[in-house]
Amino acid sequence: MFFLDSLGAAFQLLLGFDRELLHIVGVSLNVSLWSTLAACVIGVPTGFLIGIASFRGKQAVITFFNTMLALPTVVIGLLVYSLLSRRGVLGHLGWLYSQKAMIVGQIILITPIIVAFTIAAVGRIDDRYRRTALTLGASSWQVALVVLREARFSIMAAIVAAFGRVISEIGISMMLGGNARGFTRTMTTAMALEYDKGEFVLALGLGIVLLAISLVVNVLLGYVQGRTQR
Amino acid sequence: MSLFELRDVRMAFDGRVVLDLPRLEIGQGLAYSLQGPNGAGKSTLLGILSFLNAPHQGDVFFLGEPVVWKESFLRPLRRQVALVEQHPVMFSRSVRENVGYGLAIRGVPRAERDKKVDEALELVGLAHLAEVYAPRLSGGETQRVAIARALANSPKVLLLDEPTASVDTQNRVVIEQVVAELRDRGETTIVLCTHNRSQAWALCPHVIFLEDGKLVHRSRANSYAGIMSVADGQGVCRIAENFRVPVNGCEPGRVRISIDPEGVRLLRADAPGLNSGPLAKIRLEGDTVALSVNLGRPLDVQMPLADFRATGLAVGDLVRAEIRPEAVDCHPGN
Repeated sequence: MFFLDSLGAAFQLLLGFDRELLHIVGVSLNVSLWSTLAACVIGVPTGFLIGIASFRGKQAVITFFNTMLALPTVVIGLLVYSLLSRRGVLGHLGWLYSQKAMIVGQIILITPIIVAFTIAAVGRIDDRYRRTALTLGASSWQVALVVLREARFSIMAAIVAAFGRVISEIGISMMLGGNARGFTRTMTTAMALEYDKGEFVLALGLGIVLLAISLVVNVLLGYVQGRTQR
Repeated sequence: MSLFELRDVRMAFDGRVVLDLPRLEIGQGLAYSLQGPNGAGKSTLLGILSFLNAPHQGDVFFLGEPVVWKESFLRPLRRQVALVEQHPVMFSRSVRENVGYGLAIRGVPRAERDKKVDEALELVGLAHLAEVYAPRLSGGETQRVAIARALANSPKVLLLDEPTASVDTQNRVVIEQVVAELRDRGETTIVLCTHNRSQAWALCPHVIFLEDGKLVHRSRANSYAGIMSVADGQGVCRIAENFRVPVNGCEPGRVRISIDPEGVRLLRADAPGLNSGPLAKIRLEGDTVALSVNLGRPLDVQMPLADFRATGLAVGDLVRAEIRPEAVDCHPGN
């Protein structure tokens, strides 16, 4: 009964476009989108080059990125905190407890996801694509583009997975953002706070938004795939 | 001048020599069938001819110039050669974009590209599928589009790796017609790798036969040396004790004959006798069946799958070979 009451109140918040709820969602989306974008810029080319190239120690590099997938958010939080705190190497930037600090931490969190999944995506591409492009007269660069194009949906899925990871993480946001209302309060940190206070209405509302965002992103991915394979 | 010339080319994997060609020449504008059992080195040779794989030893000359196995040198050469693999892949784009890919990367303008793509698709009879998403095509259509994709670039050489091995009869007929048309035009050198010997003979006047990686000089299968004689007005060539072949229009004496495997009919035999022997091999090749009968010398026979099923034959059965004189070619003096 209590749960249903809270759920009903949460829907009222959503339908009434509650200012606080919208602001929290806005902060979450802002931080997550920027960190995902930056991780893509770093991770996709890195993963692609590792995946397509042959070099000594390739397996060791892949193992390194696979290990990084298990990096706990609190460890990243501690690491970035030590860099950005007043006595840290980058303390002069004054980024601690800001959205910038959260973005830095989240980039460290999801770049290995994008790199590792991109390597796997490229590795799964049938070698006949490379050979076919070569026999049709493609240069090494054009062959790489063919492979990238064939791997695009798996890479997009990696990016979606990375976005899902950042928008739902809490450790980095809490340690580096500080959960400051109106500035660094995200959906997950707000939900944790509301839970501590025993207030479930806003927490449930945010939970529904979180799920809806995930749903929309995945529906979009499916739509793009469907459109391309018309 | 030869188009390709291979000198002392060797390829070895894990100490096993898979290709050993002291000399092989491929002439311009000619059609070759590349034949041989599985593991004979056919695909390895195609890899070298398509400039995808460098030989471990030896020299390759293309149009008289030595091939330097460096990427910057190979790209212009690859643009003159087209390889269609046994199981080709389609890029995840439309059929038109697939066929036009080679032209696009050569910087051919859109209008000219579309014209050439339409011509290539017309040649393989798939112009109506130009806007279809290529990975959705059937196996036979994929093979035909792959041939169109190769031909759109007007290559000097077309290398076909068993193009009809896994397609239905309708697609096989179209592919054979395309190859025959190209051969008749004489502008493109064709190397057709196939297990289907009747197809090879019908389409390609020249044969490259490999066995254990080595070139075997065999103009046709079922090629035998024998002695011609005439009995009761019918010429007969004696190949072995129980292997005698009716031959028309050949003078008595030493001859070399060749027998079309499709011109032989096999009947179940009750007892050993003339042209009788055990059925030694049966192999499915697409929609035909290749058989080998031991008549003291192996005789290769080929028949449609449906006809083979009707015979009910199995390996080890005693069979009698009925050879029509029309299926026999005779070359005196060998």
